[in-house]
Amino acid sequence: MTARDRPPISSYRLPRGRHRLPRELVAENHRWRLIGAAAEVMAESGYAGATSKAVARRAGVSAGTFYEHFDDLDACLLATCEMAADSLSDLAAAACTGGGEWPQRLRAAVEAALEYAASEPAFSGLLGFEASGGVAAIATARERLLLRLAGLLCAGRELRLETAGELPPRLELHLLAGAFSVVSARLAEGEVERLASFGGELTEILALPYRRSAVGARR
Amino acid sequence: MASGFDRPVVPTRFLSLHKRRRIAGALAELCTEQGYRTVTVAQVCSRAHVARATYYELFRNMDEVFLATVEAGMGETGQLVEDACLASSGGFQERLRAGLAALLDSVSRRPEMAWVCLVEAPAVVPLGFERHDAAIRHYAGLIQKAAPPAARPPRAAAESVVGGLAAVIRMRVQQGEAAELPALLPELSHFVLVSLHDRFSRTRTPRKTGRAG
Repeated sequence: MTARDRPPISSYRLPRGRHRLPRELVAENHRWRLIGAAAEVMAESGYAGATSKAVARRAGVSAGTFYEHFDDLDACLLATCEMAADSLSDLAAAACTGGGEWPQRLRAAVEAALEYAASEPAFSGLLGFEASGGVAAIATARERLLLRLAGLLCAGRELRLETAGELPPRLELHLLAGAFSVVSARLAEGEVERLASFGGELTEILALPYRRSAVGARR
Repeated sequence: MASGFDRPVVPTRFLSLHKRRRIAGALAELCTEQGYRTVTVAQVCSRAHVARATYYELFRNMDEVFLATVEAGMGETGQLVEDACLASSGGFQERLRAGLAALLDSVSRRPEMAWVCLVEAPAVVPLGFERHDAAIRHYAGLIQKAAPPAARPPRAAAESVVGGLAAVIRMRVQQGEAAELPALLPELSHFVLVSLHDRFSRTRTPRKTGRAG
């Protein structure tokens, strides 16, 4: 189910009044709602408008409950970003294990990532460069995500012939950061629906440095 | 002042321009130290040595100061980069290198401005984000224009390369390592070349420049 056909995560409330749900389940539900609420608040008002109070209110829990789960707003944002980063990299990694040559697998991974971005705009918005605004927690989560994705992308290096010349050491990180920047800009322009059609172009951008044709046919 | 000197006569326009710059500079420093959202008017005034009344004569609110600061930083660096590109008489690779060198140099000399423009601005929606986006497009356009016609990259590819560079710079600035950016010139210009076209990817960066790490 995507964000477009389900209610916001922050509204996954438990039944009102007295209930006999186990404490762990209630806590799990609160944490989940707080994480969803943090993503929603960030999407609506950015870091400048985000406070732990606003997140708690959106999730429908007390400020006390917020602090049972997180030390402060940044800790909550870090958990939220990590959730988004995990989802995205898991989807991309799963798409990579599908069959086919490297370019096809790359294309599948790119499309899986774009689909996630389109279907979970609040979460994926946290992975764009614009979200951090100097918040170290968000920057850290994103850096870790880039490293994980770079691990997948660098398989492309094996395609190159030995005569092709070296590639810069951190090429994958820079390529991926650029791809995130382009997608962020498109999302900000409200091109969510057309994001899927961007898969081919984005794959081309990521694959170009590794292309066989690039490697010394005319050397 | 109690000193016997006469105050020099300075035109008002110059004074207010000077004060605007001081206020912008003060905000940039405070942002780097503590983050934009916690900066107060009182802090800006005391850091810039202007009266609160002067502040409100020049700006309506903090967001206006912020955007003026972003505009100043982006404009100044953009001009330096463009000048460096134009001054270089070489081909695409030389121009790219000259422009990139100017960019890295400018950031390393004024990391607090880079902090405002690259780290904080995109998070200030919508105007800061739009200004940041416009800068990315501008630099992407410079790359497209400088590239030889046969190797001209499509818009998305050029924007992606610039976005990648911006991310590297942002990360370094955020970690307080802006001073190390100029040393990344060989690696980053190599990154741009291999990302843009097959044609350039066969050209190695000269070995003797080494690779900064």
